[in-house]
Amino acid sequence: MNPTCRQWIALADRTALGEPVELDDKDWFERHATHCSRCGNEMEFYQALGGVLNSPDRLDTRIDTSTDRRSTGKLTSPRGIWMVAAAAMALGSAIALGHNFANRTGLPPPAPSEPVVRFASVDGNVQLGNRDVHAGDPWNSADSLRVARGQACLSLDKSVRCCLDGDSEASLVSLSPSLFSIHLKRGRIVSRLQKQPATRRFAIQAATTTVTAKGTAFVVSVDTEQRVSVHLYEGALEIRSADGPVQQLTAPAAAVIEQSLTRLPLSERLRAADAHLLEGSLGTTNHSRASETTAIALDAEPTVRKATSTPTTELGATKWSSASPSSKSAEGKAGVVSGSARALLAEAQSLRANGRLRRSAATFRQLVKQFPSSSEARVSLVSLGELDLTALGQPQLALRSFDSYLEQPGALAREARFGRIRALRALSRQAEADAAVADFLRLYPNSVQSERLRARGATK
Amino acid sequence: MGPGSPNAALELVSLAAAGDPMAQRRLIDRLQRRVHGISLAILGNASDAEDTTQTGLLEILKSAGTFRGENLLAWADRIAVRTAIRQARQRRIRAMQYEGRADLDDVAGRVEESSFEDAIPHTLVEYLALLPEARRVVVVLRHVMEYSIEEIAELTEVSPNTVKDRLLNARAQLRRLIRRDLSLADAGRQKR
Repeated sequence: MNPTCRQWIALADRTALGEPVELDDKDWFERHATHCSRCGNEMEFYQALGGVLNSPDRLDTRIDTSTDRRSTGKLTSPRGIWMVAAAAMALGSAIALGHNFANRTGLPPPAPSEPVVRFASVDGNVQLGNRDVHAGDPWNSADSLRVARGQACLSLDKSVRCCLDGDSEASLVSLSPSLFSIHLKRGRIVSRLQKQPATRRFAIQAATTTVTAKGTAFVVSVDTEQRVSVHLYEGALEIRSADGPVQQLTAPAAAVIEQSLTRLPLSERLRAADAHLLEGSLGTTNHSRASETTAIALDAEPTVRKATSTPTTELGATKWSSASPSSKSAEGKAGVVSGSARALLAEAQSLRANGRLRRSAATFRQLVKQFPSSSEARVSLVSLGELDLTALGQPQLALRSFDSYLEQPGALAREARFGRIRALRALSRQAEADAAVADFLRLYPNSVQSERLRARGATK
Repeated sequence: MGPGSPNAALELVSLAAAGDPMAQRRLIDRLQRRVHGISLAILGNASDAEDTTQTGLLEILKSAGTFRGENLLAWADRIAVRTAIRQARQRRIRAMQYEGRADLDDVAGRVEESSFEDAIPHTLVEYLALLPEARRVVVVLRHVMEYSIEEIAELTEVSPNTVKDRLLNARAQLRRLIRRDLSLADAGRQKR
């Protein structure tokens, strides 16, 4: 085996171990894999392995490693592409972290004209890997960017601005003169692009979907089930899902991508949910406080008012001025969205899936209040109780929801009774909790929860 | 409410936990292929995987009462992985030992510059089956399930350093196997 292959393998192994690395030598890594059959085959093997979970049949098929496919860069799956990119990212960071592979191995030095992405603004709890991020910091590592709460906005040479919402996680897939690509692992990201150089593409990868844009404003989100939603406000997008054809989306439009792409209207409800993110992407003032201002007008017009006027520079990024602020906040707007019980339930579920638990609970509450006799409201009582009890620390409210559900118990009665026990315990109402436990054991003697309750009783 | 929404998943699993046969059937239909894939990858052979798939699905139904509306697939994956690891340990599947038979890298090195093959000669599961159980489990958890080293350490009840050792050894073994097979295929073609 020649020394270059040995070096390639060493770096591939580092990636497999999850060691932190950066971008610098990705071109070399990719080039080597495309012209070295042995390393290329190894990469194909792990790409195929990575696709097994979604396509178990792959376990029993031979791995196609034909030259044409690899040399044209068409890998087995978007996930495969991501893995290549991740491996590529892995390479350079070893160098940046002082390992200096290039000097030791004779690999080519990093290209001098690499574009730089910087954090234009950071508000809340934002970390890159294990370190806190500040405005002005560059984003040039493969470490995951986590926005636990608040918002983090990035900019690339005054023409691209992206903001990640709270409870989101993303990583940099590619940052080269020809491609700026971000992998959204969870949560939501809004992107605004001015006209891009003809040679550069901008893409967001989420689950098995790649959204590619030129001159546009759009929001991409991925929920806990890895379903991808796209809300397009300006311009056009190209959407490539797992095995489906490439599809075009023109503003205003929305789509949900699961096995296939489903087109949806860009409703006022979706606009309201995106408002604070869109505001952040304008880069106006302190866009972390979505509840205070709304820069995007959410009127009944089919498109959002265009958010471009005279740009000024803010930390190397374009500062976008916006349409006149609405007097109502995004939070407020979202809170008074009217519609059917079904729509409200879907909204509450979507908010919960995206980790927006308080707003989810508020929407569940609105549903219960607005449509008290609907079946959606019945179901919501148990969901609301769980949210209040486990996520929001409000056992009193949780108990009220469980009790309401149990006035006319349905299919979720056992869950409601179990929740009620936990709520009573959280409120230190021990005698009532004990009585509820006795009832539960009598009604569901063989359930999993009963085992837990008995185990807890035995350890008292 | 779409079938993939978190609330739909919670309701489905809740009904399955309550013993609703329709819900149990739907849940199994939804997860069966995935659980089978995990079992096959970890156990390395089809007949063991069939049994383990059944056991894994039963475990999922038994645990349904603990589901709280998190990501259904991630929750089920974890149960399937734990079941498969337990089964693999119990049956002490003995992998064929290909290690150390020859310096395969030397063989491979002679044909380093040869053209690409149309396909790696064996299937993924055939290569996985050649790994000793402990290594195979780590490869599957890392490269199929994409768990972190720490998560794998927790699932397999060994230290993170042991996980790293196993992963590197497994990758080296797979590398030797693939290179050897491709070299043999090259040599066969040259003879013809």
